[in-house]
Amino acid sequence: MDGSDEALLAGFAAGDPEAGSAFVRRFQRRVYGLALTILRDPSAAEDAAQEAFVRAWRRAESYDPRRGRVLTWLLAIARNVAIDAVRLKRAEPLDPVLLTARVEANGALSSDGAPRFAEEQRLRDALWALPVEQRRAVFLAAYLGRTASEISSLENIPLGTAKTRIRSAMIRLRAELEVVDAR
Amino acid sequence: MPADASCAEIRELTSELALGIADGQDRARVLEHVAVCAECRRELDELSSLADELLVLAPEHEPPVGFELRTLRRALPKPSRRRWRQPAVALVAASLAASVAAGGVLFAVRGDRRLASEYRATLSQAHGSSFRAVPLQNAAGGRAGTVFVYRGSPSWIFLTISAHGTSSAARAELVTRGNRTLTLPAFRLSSGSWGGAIPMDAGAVAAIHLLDRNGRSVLVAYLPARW
Repeated sequence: MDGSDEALLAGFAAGDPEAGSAFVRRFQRRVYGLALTILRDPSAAEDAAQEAFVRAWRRAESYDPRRGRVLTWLLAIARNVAIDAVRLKRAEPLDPVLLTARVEANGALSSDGAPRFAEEQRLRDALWALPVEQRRAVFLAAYLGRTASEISSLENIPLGTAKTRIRSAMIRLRAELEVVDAR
Repeated sequence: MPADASCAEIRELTSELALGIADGQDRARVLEHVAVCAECRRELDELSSLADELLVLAPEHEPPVGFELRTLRRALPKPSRRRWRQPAVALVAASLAASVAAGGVLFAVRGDRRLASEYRATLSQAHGSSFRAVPLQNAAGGRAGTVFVYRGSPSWIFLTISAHGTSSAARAELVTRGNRTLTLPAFRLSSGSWGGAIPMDAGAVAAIHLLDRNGRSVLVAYLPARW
């Protein structure tokens, strides 16, 4: 079944099996990949990814196309499910160096060999232009839901420094993307 | 703007709120402020979009075979199927009403009877109970071909991949309703199609996966739960 992301989400939410399977197939590598990045355990990642789709089905009515793409909405759900699972298991915090390396290893081609969207590549470039400590802080917050206080402990730095790293990274990323937009 | 929080103070917190890591007190302060400050609200919206986009950079990874099926079973329980059927019933009723209005009921019934009779005769020739055609979908959920499934003794499948479909399928696997995976050793695409008997009742098959040389599912077809 072909169709826009929004149309497939609507069909999925209505309980249409064909739209549902098309929706899951379109996004499963992204959702499972994110869950695996956060949880590092294939079985737990599958459970979290499935739960993310279940929540998407339940909450489809809350999706607002003016606030972002279906993909980012779905990944935000998957991230929250995976973070909850990490907290429930009280798993060891993922090494920030390992986390950034995993995302860094994710190259310019998607898993099916297609070039990534230009916007995605721009964000990737902007991220890798950040000082390494800011990049780690923003990864720990965005992917693992670590608070400034937790980052302070993990990185063995004062709380104020952790907060500054997070904020500086986000402001710099936004500025980089705005500069490209304005060109 | 609330008197107890300046824009500068609030903007110290917007990144953490956008990333979903602010504590309840900070979150309340920011939300109270942005309710009356358009500039800070715009900043929060931009940073929230940025935080969402960061997740897109995570590596993609192929989930285990059968993931879609297990997910749909979990996401689409029985009540949702009832919900989906309602419009279908309405459509059938509307269609029937239109036929009556056109005076075509007798013709339609005769045609259906002949078709049903031919169908029964065909099935009886090979000890069959049902014959289905289901869409073959690519990774993006698009239609890439058709799988014809005969439920009989023996059960068999025949599949065709459309001209624009992938030709990288090197292996075929059946996933049963009990989540067992069974490789079809005789599978080999020839001119975009393949057919052969399967070593089980087709009614027990939940999905047919075609995998590439790396074991990645490139095409899939789902069979209905009861047929």
